[in-house]
Amino acid sequence: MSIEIHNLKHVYHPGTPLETIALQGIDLSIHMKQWLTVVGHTGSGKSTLAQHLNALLFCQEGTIKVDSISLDPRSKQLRTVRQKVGLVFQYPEQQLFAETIYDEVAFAPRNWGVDPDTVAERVENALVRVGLNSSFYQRSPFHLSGGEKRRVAIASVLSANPDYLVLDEPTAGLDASGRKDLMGLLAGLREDGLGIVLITHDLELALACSEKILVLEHGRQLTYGTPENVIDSLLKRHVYGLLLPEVVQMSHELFLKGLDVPITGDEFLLAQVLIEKVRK
Amino acid sequence: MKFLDHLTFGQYIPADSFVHNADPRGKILGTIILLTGVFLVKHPSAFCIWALFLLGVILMSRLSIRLVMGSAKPVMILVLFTAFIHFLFTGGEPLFKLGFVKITYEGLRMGVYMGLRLLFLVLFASILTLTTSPMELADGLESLFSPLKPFGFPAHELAMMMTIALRFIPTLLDETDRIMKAQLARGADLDKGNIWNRLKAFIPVLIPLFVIVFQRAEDLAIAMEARCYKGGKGRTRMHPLAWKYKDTIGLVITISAVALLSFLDRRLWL
Repeated sequence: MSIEIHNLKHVYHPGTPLETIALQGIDLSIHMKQWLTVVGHTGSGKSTLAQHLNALLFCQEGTIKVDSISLDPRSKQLRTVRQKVGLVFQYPEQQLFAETIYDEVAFAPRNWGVDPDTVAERVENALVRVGLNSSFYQRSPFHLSGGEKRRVAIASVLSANPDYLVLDEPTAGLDASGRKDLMGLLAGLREDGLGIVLITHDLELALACSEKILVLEHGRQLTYGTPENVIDSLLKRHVYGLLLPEVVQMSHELFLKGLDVPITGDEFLLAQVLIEKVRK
Repeated sequence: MKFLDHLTFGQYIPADSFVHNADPRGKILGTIILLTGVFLVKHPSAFCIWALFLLGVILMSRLSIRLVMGSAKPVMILVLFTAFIHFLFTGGEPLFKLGFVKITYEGLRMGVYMGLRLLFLVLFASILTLTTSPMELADGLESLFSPLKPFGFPAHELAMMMTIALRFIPTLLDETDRIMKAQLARGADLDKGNIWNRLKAFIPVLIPLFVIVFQRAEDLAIAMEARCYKGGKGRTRMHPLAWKYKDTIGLVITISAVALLSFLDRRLWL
């Protein structure tokens, strides 16, 4: 059970003056219960990649397979793929349309032809997961705060029971506490067995929560590996638009000055090692 | 589901060509004259000459033919619908009859002519927007409307409104595309079923789109006010418009071509 991408290429407006190579030579695999983060500067192709995972865009070269289903515009299983891979767009609250929150969250399962009893169950589960109780059911989604709207939008994707969840810049515009809540929610979903693909330009966030990180630069795959691999790679070569977190830079500086400390993004680990060294 | 084409009516493609460098006033006047000319002719040969004229303008603008033709895609439904209405409701000598549906020779001719006229209208107008930046277009329109200012005509405001409308066509298409994708990702079926089901399926696209449009309009108004926008009074230009002899030649050629073609259409071919 995985999403496999091999040599993906996508060009916008081919053959016109606005021709832009959005993605080129992308190879990666995402498994269930795995957290992959895609990082890159604005215009690096992150959102284009996200739309390929949900069969909204199709590769012009290379292949993408979701649980062995090949993504092709002629495939009859595209709806199955869209159900398996939930996609939360950037500013998902802008997709809200229903009169009540219940109808909004029930939109996806109803579209997949789920029976009304199961729809009710899924709506309840999805809203509980994002921290909204039954008192919200009959309220209008347009009268909620920004953070609540985003939670409803994420619940409206979760209610389709996806196996993988792709989130395009989900923390954009959220305050620190909203961001923390959202990361907690995603960690819980991964524990429940979902594969998480987080698209962000925030390297600190990526290093803190991912098992694997893909770094994109101008549509090309620069690094794909564990957070440690990515730190190594970014220390060797600066990537346009990406800045290593201060704690990584500091641990690297200490290491270069001859101190035996791990080069890490984990500030608590670094503090612990330094305290131990001071004690000794 | 085929998504909206981003290269559409209203998009400006910069290039270094005679058409791009021409004065926007000349281009606006030339386009209006050409569009009038397209509606004056009635003979098939005249439509062929208009097609050649269009090809000439495209080549002079250094835009690809595919790109210009692609800009007519969003209005093809309207073109076909207009042609279809003429097929059905123009009286004359019937070619064939099926129940209450009567297709006449005149209806077929009018349908094809009206379809072609609309197509030429869109293509010539597209060339104007593809080769003129929104700023130049606004300056050109304001300058053309300025003689009406003493009569209380809001020349600057009208030009500004038209520019904003043109500027927002690609943006709104992008927003529509994004919302459509978001709803498709949630299992919406936007292109299945009969016309009523399809219209109903578009509600999840239209409501968020309206919300975004009003939000953007408000944001734009606030941004303009924050930068002390107070209409055209006392405003100067960074790049004042300068009419060159090339613009006069281009406009004279356009007027002559339209006059000659209309004359030939009326006197020689009919």
